[in-house]
Amino acid sequence: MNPNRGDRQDAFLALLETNKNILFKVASAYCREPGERDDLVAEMTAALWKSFGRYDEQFRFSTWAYRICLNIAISFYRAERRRVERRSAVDAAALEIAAPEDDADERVARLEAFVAGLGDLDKALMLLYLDEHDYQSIAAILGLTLTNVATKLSRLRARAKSALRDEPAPPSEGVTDGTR
Amino acid sequence: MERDDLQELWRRYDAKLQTLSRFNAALVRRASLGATQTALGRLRNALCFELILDALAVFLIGGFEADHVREPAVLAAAVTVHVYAVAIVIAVVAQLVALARIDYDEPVFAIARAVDRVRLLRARAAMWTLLIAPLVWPPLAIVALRGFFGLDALAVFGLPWLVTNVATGVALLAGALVLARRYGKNLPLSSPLRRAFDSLSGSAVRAAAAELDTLVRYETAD
Repeated sequence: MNPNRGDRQDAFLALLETNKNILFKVASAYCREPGERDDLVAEMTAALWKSFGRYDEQFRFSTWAYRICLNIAISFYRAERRRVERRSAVDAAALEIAAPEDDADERVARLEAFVAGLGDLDKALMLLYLDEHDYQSIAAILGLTLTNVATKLSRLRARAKSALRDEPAPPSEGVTDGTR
Repeated sequence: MERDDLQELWRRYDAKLQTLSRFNAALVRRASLGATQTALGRLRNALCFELILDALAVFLIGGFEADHVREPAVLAAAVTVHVYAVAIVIAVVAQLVALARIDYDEPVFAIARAVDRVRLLRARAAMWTLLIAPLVWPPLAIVALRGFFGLDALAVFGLPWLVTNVATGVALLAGALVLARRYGKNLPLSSPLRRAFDSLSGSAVRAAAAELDTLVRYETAD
C-alpha cells in the first residue's frame, strides 16, 4: 500500500472514530430497519472516504461530514427507504420509545421518535439544529437562505415542543417537505 | 421549551448513542479502502454497461444498414430500430452527464435536486423505452431474421405477417397499460413487476416529478 495513502487512511479513520455519532444519528433518523442502517453507515463511510481528498482542514470535520452524510441519506435512500417505512412504521415507532429508564430518558426517546418521524428535508434541518450548528452553518450545509432556515426551524421547534409535551402538533404553516 | 432544552436532550441522546454504538471496524476499513461502492457509483456502472450494449447495437445496426442499402423494406426496418437504439443511447448519456455533475461536497439541497433530476430522467427513459418497445418488435424481427438467417420476412411471410405483428404489439402495449393501471398498485412496492408497471403507466415519472417539485417548493418557501 502507498504509505501516503496509509497515513491518509489512518487520519480518516481517527476522524471518523471521533465523529462516528454523526453517522449513527443520521442513519438512525433516516432508517428504521437495523440492516438498512448498516447499509447506510457503510455507504456514508464510503462517500466520506471518496471525498476525503477534498476535505479542507480549516473547516470542522463534523460540518463537512454532516453535509456528505445528509447528501447520501436524502438523495440515495429517499425512495427506497420509504418503501420499507410504510410497511414497518408502527413497529419501529414502538421500538424507538420503548423502555425509558426515567423521565429524561423518556423525553430523549420522544425527541428521537419526533426526529425520526419528520419528513426527510425537515429531518436534515432538525438534526443540524439539535447538534448545535448555527443558522449560518445550517444554511451553508443545506443550501437554504438564512430566513428560510430560521422560519422552518421556528415551526419545527414548536412541533418538537408539542411532541415532548405529548400535545397535538400545532397546525402546519407554509410548505412542509411533504415526504412523510 | 427553549432551544437549549431541546439541544440538551439531544446531548443526552448523543451520549447514549456513544455508549451503545460500536463502529464495525471491518466495515469501515472496507469502505475506506474503496471496496464499498456508493449508490451513485453503482448506478454509474450500470449505466456504463447499458451504454456499451446500446452503442454496440447502434454499431451493428449501422453495419446492417450499409449491407442492405438496396433493400428498401429491410433498410426501413433497420432505420426504425436504429433510431430507437440511438434514442436509448442519448437517454443513457444524458443520465451519465447529469450524474457526473453530482458532487457530494455541494450543499444538500443542490445535490438532492440534481439526484431528483437524474431520477426523473431515468423514469422518463424507462417509460418511453417500455412504451415504444412493443411497436419496434416487427422491424426488429425483420432485421433479426434477415441478419441471422438471411430470411426476408416480408417476402416470405407477406404483408399480413407484418400487420399481425404490429397489431400484436399494439394489443400487448394496451393490455400492459390496462394491467399496470388497474393492478399495479396491488403489487409489493419492491417487486420488479411493480417497478415495470410504474414505469409503463407513468406513475414513476409523476412520483419523480412530485419529489422534485416538493424539494423546489421547500427551498423557495419561507
